[in-house]
Amino acid sequence: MPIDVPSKLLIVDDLPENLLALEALIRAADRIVYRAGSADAALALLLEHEFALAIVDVQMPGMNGFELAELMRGTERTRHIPIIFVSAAGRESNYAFRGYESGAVDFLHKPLDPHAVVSKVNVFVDLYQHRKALRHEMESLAAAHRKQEELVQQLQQTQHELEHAVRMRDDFMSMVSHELRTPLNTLYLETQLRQLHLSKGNLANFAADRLPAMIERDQRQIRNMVRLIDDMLDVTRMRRGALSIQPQPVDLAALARAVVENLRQQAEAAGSVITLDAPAGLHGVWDEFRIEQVLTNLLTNALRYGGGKPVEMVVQPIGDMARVSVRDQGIGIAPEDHERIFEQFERTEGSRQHAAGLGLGLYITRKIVDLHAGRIGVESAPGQGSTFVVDLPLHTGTAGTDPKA
Amino acid sequence: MPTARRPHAAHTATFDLHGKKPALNVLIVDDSKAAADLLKELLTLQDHTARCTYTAQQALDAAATERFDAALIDLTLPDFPGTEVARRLRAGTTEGTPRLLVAISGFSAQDAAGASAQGLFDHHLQKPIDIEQLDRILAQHSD
Repeated sequence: MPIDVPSKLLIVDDLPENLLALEALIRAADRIVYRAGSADAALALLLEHEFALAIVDVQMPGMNGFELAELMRGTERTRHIPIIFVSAAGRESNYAFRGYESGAVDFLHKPLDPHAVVSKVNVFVDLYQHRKALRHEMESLAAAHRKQEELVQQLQQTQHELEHAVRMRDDFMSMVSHELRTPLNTLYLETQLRQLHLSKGNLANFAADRLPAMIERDQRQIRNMVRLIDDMLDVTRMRRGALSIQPQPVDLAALARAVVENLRQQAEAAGSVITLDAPAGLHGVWDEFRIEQVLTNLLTNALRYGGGKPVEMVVQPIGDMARVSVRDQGIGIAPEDHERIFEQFERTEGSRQHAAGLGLGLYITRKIVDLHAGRIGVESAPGQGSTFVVDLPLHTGTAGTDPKA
Repeated sequence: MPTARRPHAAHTATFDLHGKKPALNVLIVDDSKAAADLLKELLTLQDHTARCTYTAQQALDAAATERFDAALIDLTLPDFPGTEVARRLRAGTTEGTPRLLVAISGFSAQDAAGASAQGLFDHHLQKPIDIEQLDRILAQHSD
């Protein structure tokens, strides 16, 4: 691979006319020649440039050529620069130069033979160019290799993420269909039972006094299915970051009363009762539908995992926040699960054993609270029940979509 | 499915008045109370007798004191899995093993969760339960 970088040559001689003559000999298009009139000047240039070759006059006042060469050999940066000594034949033969082992050394004798000079310099410059090209090639190979490794790693990472996403989706589909089948089963059994009654002429089962309960049973199953589908869609929206809230003036106390009233029958079915402690009014600006979802989710969980014991909801203003807390006296949550329960599809073993569900309620709840710039937390220990606390700023402002999604 | 007659079958299966199939005494266990109660009503209307239980323990307790011809077992129960109920019924630690064990679940028999029931149950019904399908299974085992 050709390298466009020119080779730098250093020539050191105390006589300017020698420097000029030498430079004229070795000058070429792809070379830059640096002249130094003394060993000190040479050292300064050596610090600054990377040289392909140094041609050093041995006889110089002050530091001589051999001393300069020894200094060069003693420094890592300059240790491997080939050196051609220019000497007056015979005069310095008794000088024991130390440092041959570190790099190439050659000699030119005065008077200089132009052919010898040019060919020696060519050899060293070629050598330098080749070495440089080789090093460059090795470096780009190593870089390509590194890049490839990075790419492979990225691909592997992406593959893992995709596999995880596909697995999550499959699990999700499987869970959703499993969960939908429970209310669907009850509904389907009801219709089959009615059909059987009809075919047997048992019309008493369809008497006016029995119909309201029948309708209520059907509606409960249908509501369960609608809730499952809504949750599923909400989660899909949240993943895309497309869930938005529409804040408007809301009376949180009135909303809480309505939600508690809606859940009265469900509480009865769970053998529980919900008590509400709320002021006459607590006005703020929130998305009423979404906050209703939060209150419903928290109370539904409290009924599910509350062991049939009373559930308490408290609504109160605290500074410029509204606080809603929901306390049950049920199975509780181990400290190590306190964070996890807010993630999608995460359920504790205890909750799995106690009730069916997708593990989306608290995930959705926290997302909604986040969208209102609020906070949600839990205090609980196994067997000690759980208290979920939601703090909502009275004025959410115009928060739009979930910034984190 | 095999319909090998067991000796105790003759004691428990009684002839119904219409002279068709002998009625069966069926144990139902499902933590969805509504579904369990509906199944019982449906079976009763078809002249079978049935008893509803809502947890695995209740089911085992019932089987310890009463002899059943068949058991319909939901695989997802609050205290322990339906497969464990089947295992204990098969192990014969209860009063006469029902000769027909039917798994009920929201999973299909091919799902991982449904597959765990393989070999333990004679049949697997996926919710929502089709009563005609259940009738056919019961009929096979009531002659």
